Amino acid sequence: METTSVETARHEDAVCTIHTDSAAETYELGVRLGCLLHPGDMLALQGDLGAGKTTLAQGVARGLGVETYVRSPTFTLVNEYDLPSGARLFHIDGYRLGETMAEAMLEADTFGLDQVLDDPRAIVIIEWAERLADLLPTDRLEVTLDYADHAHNVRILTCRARGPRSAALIEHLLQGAT
Amino acid sequence: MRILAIETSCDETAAAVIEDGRYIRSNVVATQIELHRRFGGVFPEVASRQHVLAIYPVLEQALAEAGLNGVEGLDALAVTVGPGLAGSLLVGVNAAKGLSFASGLPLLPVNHLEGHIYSNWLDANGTETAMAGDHFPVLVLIVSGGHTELVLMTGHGRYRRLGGTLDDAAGEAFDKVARLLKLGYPGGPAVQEAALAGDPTHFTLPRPLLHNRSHRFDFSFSGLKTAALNLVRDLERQGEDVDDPALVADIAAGFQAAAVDVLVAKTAAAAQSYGAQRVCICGGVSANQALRDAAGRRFRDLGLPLHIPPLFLCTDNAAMIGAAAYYSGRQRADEIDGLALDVYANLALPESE
Repeated sequence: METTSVETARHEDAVCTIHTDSAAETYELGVRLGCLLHPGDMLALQGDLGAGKTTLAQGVARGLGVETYVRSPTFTLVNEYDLPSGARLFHIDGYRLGETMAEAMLEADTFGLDQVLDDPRAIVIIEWAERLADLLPTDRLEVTLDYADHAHNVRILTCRARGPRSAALIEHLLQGAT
Repeated sequence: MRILAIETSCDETAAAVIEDGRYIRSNVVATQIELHRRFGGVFPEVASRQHVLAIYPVLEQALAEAGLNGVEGLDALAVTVGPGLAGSLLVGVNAAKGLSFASGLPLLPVNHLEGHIYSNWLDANGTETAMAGDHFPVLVLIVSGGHTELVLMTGHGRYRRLGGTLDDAAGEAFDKVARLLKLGYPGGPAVQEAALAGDPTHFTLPRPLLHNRSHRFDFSFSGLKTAALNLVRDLERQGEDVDDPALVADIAAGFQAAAVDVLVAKTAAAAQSYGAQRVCICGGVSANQALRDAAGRRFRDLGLPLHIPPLFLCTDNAAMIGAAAYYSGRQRADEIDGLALDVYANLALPESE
């Protein structure tokens, strides 16, 4: 795993780029990230099919102490896990939501996104977060997963903080890396 | 015993009247297409709102087609309480509670996965696929867009989960590969159609966990999906036209062959390990012809009776909910306060041992 660049031009806009060489490394990065999360934190994952969003989420869940298998929430839209800390992990998937924001907003109602966001114990991971961007709190850690051109298993993860809380997360993640 | 069953766990609004857990007196499924036709105009893209609009016409039609005058002649009501989308489930549960309150009929909660299992007990116009008699243990593969589970059934309503997917459900992989190959939705039928013209041996895709000893009865379809994706990217890089129908057909066929191989091999291994008397395959993906053919061959060779429901009972329907209520729910009827039912989005199959 290799951290190639860190920009902290404005504190709350912190960006870092991390390369992983395998699904296992993406998972491990998730575990490290999961160890840092507290209620109120939100990870917004973006990236195409097969980019590793669910793999990263599985790692995060592991880092938070989830011991069961974390399956894709594509069908159920949201999966919930009680955490040893007393917090609750919500693993949400925007894949099946409408392609337009208006449709996605209506559909987000049907699985109770509002209640999730109001839950003081909630730690939230959202896959295909771009589909729900307008509904999410501003201060979230956005992680965009891209393929590298040269090799199948390499992924480029761009972490972008959207506020002070998520900026602090990036800082802690980088401290852990060194 | 005549049961009116209601199913609204996902995208279909369905109601059915089932007699003695086996005979289908009516079986109504409203898809979005039919709703567009019935209500005219554009329909909101909201699953639970679709259900709200469709539920009463569907219920009335189910009663009318069964030749019933309202709820007269019914002995019980049954409704899916999970797993599924909470908002969608609530529509069916609330309609069922209303009917139960007004009629005084008992209301039985049904697990959607149990419904799929009992789709194999329905008599579909005397087809030989229906389970007759009780020959337990039965090895069940539930395979759909949301689930891939291997279950040992030791009696009616008695289940032991042997394994299941560790990541994506099989149907989800079909949907996502269909999207990757630009084949449209729903992905299962689209991949099957494209694969018809393809050579399944042109591209060999991995069979995840096939020989993994610590995950003998588990599945992983996420890796297969990614392998299909990597194949497409490789071909693109080599300058191939990945929209070429012949190439798409070969990729679809290669993917389908890998998925079917793993499903059949693990089901057969589980059936043999646990001395199953019969094997059932159910759920939306059991409509896949390649799976039906491959499983048919494999279990014929093993000398094990195989049951797969006819196509109209593979996808979500309420007939299977009525069958499940009859076989596994009625024993519990006395203990259940139908008006206090809740919905459970992540409900698992109840395990008895």
